[in-house]
Amino acid sequence: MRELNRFDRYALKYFVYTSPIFIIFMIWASVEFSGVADKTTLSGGMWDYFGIFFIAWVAILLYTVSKMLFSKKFRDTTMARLAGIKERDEREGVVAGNAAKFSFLSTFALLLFLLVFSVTNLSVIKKPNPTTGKNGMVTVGFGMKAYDETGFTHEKKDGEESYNYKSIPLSKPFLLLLIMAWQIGSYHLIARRELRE
Amino acid sequence: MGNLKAKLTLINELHVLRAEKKITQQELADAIGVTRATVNALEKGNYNPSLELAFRLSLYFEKNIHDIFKLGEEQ
Repeated sequence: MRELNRFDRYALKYFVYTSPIFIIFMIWASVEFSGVADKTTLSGGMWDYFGIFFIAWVAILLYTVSKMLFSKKFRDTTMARLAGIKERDEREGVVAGNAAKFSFLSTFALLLFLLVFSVTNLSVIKKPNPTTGKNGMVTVGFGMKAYDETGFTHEKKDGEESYNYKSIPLSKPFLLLLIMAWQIGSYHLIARRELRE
Repeated sequence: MGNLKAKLTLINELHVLRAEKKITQQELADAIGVTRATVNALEKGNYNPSLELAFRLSLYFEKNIHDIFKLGEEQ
């Protein structure tokens, strides 16, 4: 933590210490009013009061996940703490390396498995045909599209124009492919750099 | 020379040297900058140290590396 700058340190502390409160609060709120804010309920009133802290929490969450992608020092520090990776001496470094290798390969195998099953289409049609004597047919195919239209929508209704973001506007197979490419790409990039040194 | 491609086993006298100095695993670990678990793994022969760590042990015990680490039976 000491190697991070002051803002990152405070931001991370705020995020870590307030996360359990907000997670409990979100679960409580979803049970009490099923996601609809209402000032008459206790949690609705509290949302109104603590809203600014929640906005700060979301802002820090977005800042943290974005910075993790681009800053190696920030990512290494926060992710190592989050994942419980200890590298206090050379032996623990070797152990962490072996565990990371296993984790990398098993995650890659899992991603490949999920990718294959997310692009596979299988249809079983039961329709007896007396002329051919066949009971139906089975079709197998592969299909993949890059975008998921439901992730980001643009609506125009009664003079009101809205832009809605619900999730990353990429399809599941494309996301899996992207993660696999990232894994392989980053591995080879770092391995080549280390071998050159 | 024997078969140099075969896996070599390192044995060490660390537990004897530590007993002679009357120090605990934790004290040795603190002195050479590793964790107690690593000292334990070294003594049990479960971990072969890097050349740097071997030299640190050599400096600490004031002995040659050959006096601390020896080649065991070839497997």
